[in-house]
Amino acid sequence: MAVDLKMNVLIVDDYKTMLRIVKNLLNQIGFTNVDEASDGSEALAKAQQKDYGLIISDWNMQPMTGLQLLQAVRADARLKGVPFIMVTAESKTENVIAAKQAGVNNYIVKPFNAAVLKGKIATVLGDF
Amino acid sequence: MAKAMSRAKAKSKPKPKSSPKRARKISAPTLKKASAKTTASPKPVIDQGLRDGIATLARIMENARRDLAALQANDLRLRDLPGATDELSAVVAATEDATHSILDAVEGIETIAGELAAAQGDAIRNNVTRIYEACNFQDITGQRIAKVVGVLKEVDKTVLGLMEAFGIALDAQAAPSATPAKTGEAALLNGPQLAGAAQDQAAIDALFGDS
Repeated sequence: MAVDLKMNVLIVDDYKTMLRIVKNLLNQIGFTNVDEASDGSEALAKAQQKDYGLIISDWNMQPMTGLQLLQAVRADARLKGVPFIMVTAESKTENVIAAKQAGVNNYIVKPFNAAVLKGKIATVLGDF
Repeated sequence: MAKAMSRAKAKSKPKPKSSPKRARKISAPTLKKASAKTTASPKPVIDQGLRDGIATLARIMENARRDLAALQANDLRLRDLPGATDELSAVVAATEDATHSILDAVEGIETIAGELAAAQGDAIRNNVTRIYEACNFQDITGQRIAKVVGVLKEVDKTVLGLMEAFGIALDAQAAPSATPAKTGEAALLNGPQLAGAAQDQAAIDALFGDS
């Protein structure tokens, strides 16, 4: 299955440095249409305005967390099928379980490397 | 504080003769009633374990009050704890600025790598990727420091609670108590200053007569 590298990708993190890192790594992989949001509510507003093929989100953000964003996405008729990868420093089993129960497609623990990011995207979207 | 706690712990060890279970279970009202009775009647109506427990509690309270006073809680709440959180916030700001500068430079390098021959360009890009990965540190350290700031705020709340409990007034007007004066070169070693208090190179040049 070929992945459309032109798809819109939404990345969400309250650390601007992390947004830049993820965006640059995505550019290296080949994704060029990358939008940014600094918390769940900003991300949700953007997702409702535009079609995204993938959402990559941090968890611990204010006012709306990544988990709340995931739940809102899964509860939205138009957005519920959007692949969602959590990228977070929360590495406890109960976090992973909670994210899975909310419908996350994959889970990357920080700090992460480019190979892991690419590998998880391939797991979720298919090889590219 | 830790000292006081370990001392309190050591002293609260029940004596082998007394009933530790009972001594530990004394609730506040029981305590009041018991001590009232002791003052009203010369005859001891409570057992030795309970008396020991009360005496231990009184000692712990007195020690804690003395320790809290010695701690100069005023300084802690008005100067030291806010100072510590400011320093930590400055760490986060500094690592963020530096990380953005690194990313600026690396993005520039990556652009140039795209103009080079494939082998050279790839070799450079691989190293660029490693720098991106390493820049994860800013997010991780920032979150860890935010946790420590949270702990300091909890300590602040606890100190305030103890001050209220022991009737030590928080006096914002009070001059900060004199820390033992540093002398010689030690008096000169206080940097780095926080952003508002730091002099820039131009100010140093002016002082140096080198503007």
